[in-house]
Amino acid sequence: MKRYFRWISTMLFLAFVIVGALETTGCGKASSSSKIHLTISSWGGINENAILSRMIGDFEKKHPNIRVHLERVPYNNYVPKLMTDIAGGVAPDVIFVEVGNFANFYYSHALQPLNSFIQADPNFKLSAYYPQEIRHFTVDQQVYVVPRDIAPIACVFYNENEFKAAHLPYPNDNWNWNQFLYDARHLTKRLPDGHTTQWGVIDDWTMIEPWIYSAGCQWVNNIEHPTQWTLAATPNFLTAIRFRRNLITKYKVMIPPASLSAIGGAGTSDLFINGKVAMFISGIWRTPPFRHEIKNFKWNVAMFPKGPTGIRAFASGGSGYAILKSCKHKQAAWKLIKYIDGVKGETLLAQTGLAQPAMMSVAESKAFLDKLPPLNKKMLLKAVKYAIFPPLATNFAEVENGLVYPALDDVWDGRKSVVKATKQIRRILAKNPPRDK
Amino acid sequence: MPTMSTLRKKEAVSAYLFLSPFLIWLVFLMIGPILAAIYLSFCRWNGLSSIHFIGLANYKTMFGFSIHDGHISFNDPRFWASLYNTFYYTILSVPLTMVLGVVVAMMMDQKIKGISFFRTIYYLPSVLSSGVAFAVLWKWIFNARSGLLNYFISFVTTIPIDQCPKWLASPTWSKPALVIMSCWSIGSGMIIYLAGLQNIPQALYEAAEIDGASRWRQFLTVTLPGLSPVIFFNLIISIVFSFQIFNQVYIISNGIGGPANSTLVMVLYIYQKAFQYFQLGYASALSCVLLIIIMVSTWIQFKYANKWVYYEGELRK
Amino acid sequence: MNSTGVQSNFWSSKKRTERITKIAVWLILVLGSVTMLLPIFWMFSTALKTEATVFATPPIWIPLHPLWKNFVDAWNIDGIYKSQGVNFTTYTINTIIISVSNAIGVMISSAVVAYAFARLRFPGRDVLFLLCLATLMIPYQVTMIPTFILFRNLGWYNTYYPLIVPAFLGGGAFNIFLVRQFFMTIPYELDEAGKIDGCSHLGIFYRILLPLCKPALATVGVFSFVYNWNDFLNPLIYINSNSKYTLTLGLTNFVSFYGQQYNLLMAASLVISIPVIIIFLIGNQYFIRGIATTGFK
Repeated sequence: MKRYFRWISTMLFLAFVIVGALETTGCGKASSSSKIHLTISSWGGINENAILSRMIGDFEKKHPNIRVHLERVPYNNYVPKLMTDIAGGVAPDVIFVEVGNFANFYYSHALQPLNSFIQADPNFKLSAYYPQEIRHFTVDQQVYVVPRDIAPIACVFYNENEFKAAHLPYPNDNWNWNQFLYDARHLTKRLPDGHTTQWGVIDDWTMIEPWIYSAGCQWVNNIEHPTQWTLAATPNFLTAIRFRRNLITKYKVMIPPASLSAIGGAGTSDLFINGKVAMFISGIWRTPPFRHEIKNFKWNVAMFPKGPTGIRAFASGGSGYAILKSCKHKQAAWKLIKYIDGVKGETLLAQTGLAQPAMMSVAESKAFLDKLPPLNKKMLLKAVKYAIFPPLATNFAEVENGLVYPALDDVWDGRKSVVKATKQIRRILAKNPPRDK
Repeated sequence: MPTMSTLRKKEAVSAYLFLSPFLIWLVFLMIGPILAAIYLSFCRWNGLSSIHFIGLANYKTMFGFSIHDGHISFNDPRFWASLYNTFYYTILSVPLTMVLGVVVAMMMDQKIKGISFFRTIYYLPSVLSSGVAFAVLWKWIFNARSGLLNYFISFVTTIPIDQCPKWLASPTWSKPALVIMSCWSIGSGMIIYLAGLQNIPQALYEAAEIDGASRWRQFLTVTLPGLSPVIFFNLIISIVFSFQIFNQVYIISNGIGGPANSTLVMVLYIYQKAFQYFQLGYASALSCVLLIIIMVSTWIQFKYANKWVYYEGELRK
Repeated sequence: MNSTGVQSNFWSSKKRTERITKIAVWLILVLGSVTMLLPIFWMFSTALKTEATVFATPPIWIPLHPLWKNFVDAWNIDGIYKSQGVNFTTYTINTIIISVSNAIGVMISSAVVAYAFARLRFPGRDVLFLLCLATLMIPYQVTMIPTFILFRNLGWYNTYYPLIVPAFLGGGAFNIFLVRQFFMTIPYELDEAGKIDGCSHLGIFYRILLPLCKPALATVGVFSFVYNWNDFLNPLIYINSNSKYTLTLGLTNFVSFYGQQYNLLMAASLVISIPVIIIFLIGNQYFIRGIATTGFK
């Protein structure tokens, strides 16, 4: 009898010793007691993380008692991963937040209000950053995120050589939908058998925002406190969706979605780089690869055209840093944010061309408005005024990506009428009102 | 018989000691979680705040619908889409992989050269296919413009690449693409069929041949009945597994399940609800529905098993 | 060849058709093998290409100037976590730790549990075994959320415990079933002989049966190794720090970074798959025998 007990317990003991041994080797966090350890989480690409690593390195030199660990989570997994971390009590101290996922973090009550730090810090000026973005990251007078960049999705990158070859003037500030369509049609090249050799336009991913916003639609009745989706409430929605669909099915100037590469939407920018499409709708973050890879033609950027009633509007991205409530060294975390998001960090970011700094003075400086393409980048300073941020609802991502976009997938192929899809979307939206928890 | 009973008792005690790891697992990692999942399915919970009991509300949302001008409008269209996609995939991929598996196993059952070589090659993909690495490769192979598959189709049929199926980019072709992917891993089933075939007594074939039975007849009267227990086992396992497809779909659709929800399978939807949208109660309700579906399908298979599954004892009589 | 009592002229024509059938079958099998290997070959050939030739049409099957450097480049992706020294080598070590301990755990515990089911008489045996088989039907996702909460509350989040400990608790119904079936094929007389020699149940299990069931243990060991090597969902849910990432997580990270550099991506993918291929080729004959003798009845 006893032998069995001994045997079983030995086995279990062995098992746990093995696991335990792995445990200590697997995750040995250097715990030199005198030092403060901070973890910062980001989804940044190579360029971004290189800047971040450099800034962190400098910060550690200035503050020898603080060690900062940078962790990267791929963009697709970022919110799920962080929310799970928060729930599991192992969240990082400082996180990267985007205007689009701010609602998730805010309503999970995980973010530390920053007002007390801001007020106690005479060296920090909140007014240095774009007020629109600050407003988006503020709820009930409390600021939760210090913005790093603002990203109006207003960029129509265009191939200057193709415009010249088609005898079209370059787009100017009065560009509207009709002129855009005219240009796109003249930039599309077809063989006599109907085979398209060059397309007029493609967007970075299937995006409806610039169209619906400039047609006069809004996602919600109130961006900060949404109670109702108003997206498909007016005929303007039909106008916007029809216009985008017609680009594909009627005028055949935009690449149909089924012809696109299925590789994570990454393929579309290649088409612009390779000269297969003359206009490309996206945000300014596409600049670094374009600078690096476009060799055979000149290119520039224009602001997204005005809608039929003269409205100019588009969605906006943008991101910043936040401290989590669970952080044990909030003062150190605040120092870190202030440093990496200060003039130097913002200037380095601006110089890569990757993003429009959220600090206005840097956005207006030579660091951002350099002599490199796209030269018309300065339009972004104006574009900020027309940028619309995503509504502050926790189910916005689900409603947008899970319900509205799939309902439209069949419209772009011309397999479903716009009216039918609109009715469907209205029903879906009525059944899934904006949520704040 | 007092000594007998103490012996028995002793044996029972040591048996439960041997079983103890399994019992811990059964209670804490199987039965407990199932009960918890059932309870959570009646609750609303985002994983952070407190749990709210909401009765049948999750199930009402899931199955609820209303009728607007003659059209059924579901309260949760994605649930129905995921149900449809899962069934579509299972109904196509399970029979296809099983038939292919049996055919290949029968070809290998001949005494021909290089059998162990073939066996290794056919089995290799099923070892690799569940991995992320190969899901990435398949994604590229199915690419409408630059993928290998459309290159072959267009090469063989001379249809221009533009008119070939768009596979993962098209709501119509995305599920067939997944089915094709599943055919790459017929090896795991094939190995089991091969073992089953080799267990069929040669004498039965000889007897059938003396009776003048044709090859086809032999297949129907000897091979299939002899193989039926193995087929039955495989059927149950493959249906259960194909209801649970996740890895490939997650990688191929970037976790979205598009286009137009066409690759949103049930497990992906559960994952999205739980870990992307933080509706853990609703996700639990979804997984309970999946559990019931699998249990019912297995029960049906067992119920009709005696109609076509022959065990050796019966065969010999 | 087995039909002895058949006339000789019939025999020879039969032999000819049989030979033709055999050649046809052989050709079909060869064709099938090519199809099976094509994706792997394509991965290999892409891994050796320059970025410019990856998308060439017609496809280049054998690159003229193979770039072996791609493997090194893919392995040493820089710029991401330079400061922490995290790279594919770290991921590989992590994955080996998880996969090997799973294989060990499954081999030990499934044998122990299967022995009880196969050889010992105790009240509730049939019910428990049926219950064990029934768990095969339970989708992992049903238990996923409560299990996650359980492990989280044990403080096991972002550790390897949730990925390893279950393997030491029987290793799952499938493995228990497989080993139990194997035990059933071993003659009971051996146990009796052991009993006469005065062996306890543990003695019989350890000294007599365990050495005989090596093929079955190799089978479950390889299965579990491969399963954990490829596992994606569990590490995705439980592992948080980059320094603890497994190869599959590392690869998805890689995809999101270098999604467009297919040559490097394929090189990384191939390298990740190589250990699985090697383990498979080594264990292949062993565990095919394991499955075959088990019979699945």
